[in-house]
Amino acid sequence: MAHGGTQAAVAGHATGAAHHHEPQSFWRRYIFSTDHKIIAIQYLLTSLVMAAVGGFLAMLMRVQLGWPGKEWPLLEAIMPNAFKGGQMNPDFYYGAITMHGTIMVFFFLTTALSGGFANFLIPLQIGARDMAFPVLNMLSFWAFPVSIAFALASFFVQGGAPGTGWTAYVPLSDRETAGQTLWLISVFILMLAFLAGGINYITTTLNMRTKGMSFSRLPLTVWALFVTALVGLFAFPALMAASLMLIFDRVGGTHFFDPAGGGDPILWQHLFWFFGHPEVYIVILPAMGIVSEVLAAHGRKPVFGYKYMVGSILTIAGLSFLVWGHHMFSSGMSPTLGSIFMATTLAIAIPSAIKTFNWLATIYRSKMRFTAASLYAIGFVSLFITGGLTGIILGNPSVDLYFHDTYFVVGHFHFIMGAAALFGVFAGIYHWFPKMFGRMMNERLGKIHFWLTFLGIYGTFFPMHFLGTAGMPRRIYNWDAYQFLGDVATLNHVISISAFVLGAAQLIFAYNLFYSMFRGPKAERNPWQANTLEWWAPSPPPHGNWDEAEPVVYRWPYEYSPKDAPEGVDHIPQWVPEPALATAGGDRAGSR
Amino acid sequence: MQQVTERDNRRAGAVMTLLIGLVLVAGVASTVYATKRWWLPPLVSAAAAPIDRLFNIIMVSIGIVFVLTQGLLAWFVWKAARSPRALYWHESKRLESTWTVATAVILTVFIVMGYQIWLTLHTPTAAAAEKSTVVEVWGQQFFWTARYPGPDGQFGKTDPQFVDFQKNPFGIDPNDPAGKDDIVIDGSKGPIVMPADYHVTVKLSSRDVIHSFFVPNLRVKMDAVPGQVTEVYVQPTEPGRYEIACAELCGVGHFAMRGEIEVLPETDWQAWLQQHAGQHGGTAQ
Repeated sequence: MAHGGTQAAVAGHATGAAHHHEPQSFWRRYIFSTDHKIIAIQYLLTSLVMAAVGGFLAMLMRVQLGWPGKEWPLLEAIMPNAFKGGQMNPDFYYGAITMHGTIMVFFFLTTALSGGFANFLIPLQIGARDMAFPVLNMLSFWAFPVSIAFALASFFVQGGAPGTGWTAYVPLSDRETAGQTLWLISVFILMLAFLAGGINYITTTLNMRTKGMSFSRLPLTVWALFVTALVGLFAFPALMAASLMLIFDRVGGTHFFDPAGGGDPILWQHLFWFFGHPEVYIVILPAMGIVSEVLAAHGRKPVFGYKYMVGSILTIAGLSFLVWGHHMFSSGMSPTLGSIFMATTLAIAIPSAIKTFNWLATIYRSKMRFTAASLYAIGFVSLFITGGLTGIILGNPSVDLYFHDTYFVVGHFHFIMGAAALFGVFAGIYHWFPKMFGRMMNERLGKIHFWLTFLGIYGTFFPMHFLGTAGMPRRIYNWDAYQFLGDVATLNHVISISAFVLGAAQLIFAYNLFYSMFRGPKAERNPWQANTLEWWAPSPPPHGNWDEAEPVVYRWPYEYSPKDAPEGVDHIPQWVPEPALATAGGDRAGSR
Repeated sequence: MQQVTERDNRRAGAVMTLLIGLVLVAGVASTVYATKRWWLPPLVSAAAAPIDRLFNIIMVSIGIVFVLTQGLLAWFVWKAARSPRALYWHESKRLESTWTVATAVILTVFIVMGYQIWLTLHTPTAAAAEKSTVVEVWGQQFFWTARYPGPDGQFGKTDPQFVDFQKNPFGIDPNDPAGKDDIVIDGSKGPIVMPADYHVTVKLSSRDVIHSFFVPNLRVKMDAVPGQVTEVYVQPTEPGRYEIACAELCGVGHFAMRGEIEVLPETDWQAWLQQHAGQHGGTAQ
């Protein structure tokens, strides 16, 4: 412990080479590690395992929704309780929707981006040796499996997983069986873990930037992750308070949300969405940062409109706290509030549009290397456009009165915060895998994975807008009963089959990930010839990151294809002192 | 780095262009096709006509933006696979301020249009207006119950002490003369009736958890919240039967919380009121 954590952080400020011993025991090094890179990988791998669980639940839901009423003897053999009599029982279905949402939003997207990438990238990209509080960092990770254990335990208690959705609206969640209490405890612990992580990211970014790394030279990934942590700092406590109050209501005899005791069920919605809408940006902002970085590095072109990009991140973060009411247009809250939330909601489309135009301008006349990473980044832009545009329909309260809680909403948010954020995660993994594991992933498999995933996403979520336009409410176990829906069977078959293709494609990724981790070709220091500081460290970087002095930063991170560079030089990394040195030898990547 | 030849790279770029092109073409084509097959169910409320109009305007606008932006993306990707050198170009104050202002202007137009319609939707029908009536609708797991003021147009007082789930689910005070002719309809046994061409105020509440009163043909959705009364205003135009779906997850039977509204022509409505006056038991017919 003496040298593992705090000392590395302190040494981060010292110039000159501090000698860093690697902790020797396996437990210290890989399990209870204080190294931000190991913690990042722990977060990332755990979140991917959870994504598999959440994805599996989604597949089961699509089995039911594609062919309601059909019997599945095979599934009954595997899960006798969930498929009693061959058909999925509604109890299990409603547990599955809760856990799919909870797992994907909290245990996968938030964790992979704000646990995995934030931990990996912030210290490396700002030139620090570790996080400001390495022990806190370790604790924040280890709270995560505890939180998962509580959530998954709900499947095995009397009454099963809570059937109230990830939004857990009161009074339904007040009356739900014991699984709901476990879910609330799980959420509370998780928020605590995210807060501890966020405090680390904020402090590290503010205090531990290396010499020359001014805010105007920060990579957009760090900007995005830093601002995301700030958003979390104000958003997570709202859900912590709400979940604690609901736990008291359920087990302590209080009546915060119970109208029978003078409480207000709408209060839960306000608290939940005051957290819940910023949460959407907590998952999409880091993905935006990753996409900007990947497009520039693989397109060999500076990010277009750096200042507007940073400005948009800050504007989105600020506005994200003023739009929560658009989830409640039909809750009966004051119509006056509704019109204010309409204005703020549509206003948030402005910074989002700026970012989209800037990505388009970044791709314009770039010299793109079509790697798996850049394909995912380009795919992100397409998904973000599609999902963003349908938000304009939903942001309008009078139109939303029809579309609220229909499959139109399901399609919309799966594009913009589900699939787009997922694409950000994939772009990030393909791009930084060489740095994380010192090996390359298989590009060919990566591309196949991308083609199938891209088509699978559109095939699954685009037709959901038609289901919603036809009026199909979300969270229904069976759409057979409603005549006004007309012929939605065909649509549901298409969606289910696309979803299965999408699910199966992820097996290619899983194989590629684990095979490459141990058997992939060795990676150079800077395989993509990128400019940010992490590519100056060895692949993978040792404990303490820099094997000699910390890097010094001389320029912004997007000096790709500069005009007056010597022949054969298409990028000048942040750590290179003079443009003249940026020959093939000056970029250390070339010499090793 | 794994060696990727220029040719492979160009091919990958072409496939990506093709995929985005496919998204563009299939997206537009499927949407056009969907308007014939999976679109808004027929509108039967005069109050909601502006909603459909606004929806169409926004739909066409975002359709145009979808085609332009996905088209640009596909084109830029195609070019990016073939350019010999990237352009060092990362700022254009003019371009950036142009698209910022343009987006802001378009969205402001939507905000203004949306605001006007939102305002009309929430302007309660004046009680004095000709042909207006009020219906109280309660949600509970997993059906709807409705109460009408009856021929006298006055709701009787209610009190929880009189609630009897079989005979008097609303707890209508038997001592209040205004309540004598009130009508209670159990929505699980028959349709909730509304008169055509009337301004109907629906007052919603709930007995247990939050439900949401969603009538697709009337374009209304409003939560029924325990401890509160929420209101929607509709103006049904076409006699006929229309479905109610619960749109807020309300428990394991949520998907089966289906109800019906029957819109009656005015003469039938008057007859219906007379015929059912004083029926407090919650059974239709």
